[in-house]
Amino acid sequence: MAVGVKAGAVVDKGGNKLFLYEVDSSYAGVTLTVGTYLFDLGYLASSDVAQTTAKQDFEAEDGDVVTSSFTYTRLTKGQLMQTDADLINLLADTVKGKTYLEGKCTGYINGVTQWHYKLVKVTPQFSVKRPGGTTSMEYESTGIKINTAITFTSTVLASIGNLLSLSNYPSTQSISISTSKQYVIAEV
Amino acid sequence: MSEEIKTKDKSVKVKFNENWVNADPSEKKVVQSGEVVSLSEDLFNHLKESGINVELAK
Repeated sequence: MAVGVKAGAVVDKGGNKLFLYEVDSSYAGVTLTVGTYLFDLGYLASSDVAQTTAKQDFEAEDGDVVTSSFTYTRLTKGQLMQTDADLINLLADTVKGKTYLEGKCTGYINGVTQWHYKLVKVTPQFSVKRPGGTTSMEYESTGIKINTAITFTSTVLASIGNLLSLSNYPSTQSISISTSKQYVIAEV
Repeated sequence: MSEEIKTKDKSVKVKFNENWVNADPSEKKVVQSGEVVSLSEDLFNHLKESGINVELAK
């Protein structure tokens, strides 16, 4: 597909699915066990999957920019709607020191459902407000820089889909995160 | 010969020009740049399409 005018790609809402799957120090997935290493974070009130870029310009002494340098930050933010103890303990404590494959559905876009993947560290935090509890649990993860390409085969992705009962999920595809992109988008 | 056997995925020997990890827990593999390994042809094609620096081994 090429970049162009696509009315179906103009989307305001959608998604509502976020999962974490723990990986080891070599970035390989660990045992696929729901509730221990694989987690569905439940209902989302809102979310934001983003890559932001800090730019530094280098000017010659005549004032013209000779080149620019960029620093990239890949963040996922969201407001989780649930405030059960299992979720609080996961986000406040279990995630400490761990690295996860994060899968985030961003909805139905131009005829396909879009899933974003990256390897992340989750910010350990929680907040339970009353009233306002359906938007107080802030989720934040930061994409880590990988120096090796990583592939999760369709076998493991199909298992994730089955274990978490994911719908509109690309379970027959393999995904590879390259060192240049540091994330990958799959569509189904 | 059945269609199933004829279309069975075959293995190819490939050389990685960057580090690579197969993150599938049941088939975990850590490959260093320059290593030659055997992969299914489907996986090799997927890696090429994904922009991973890998080539058929000579």
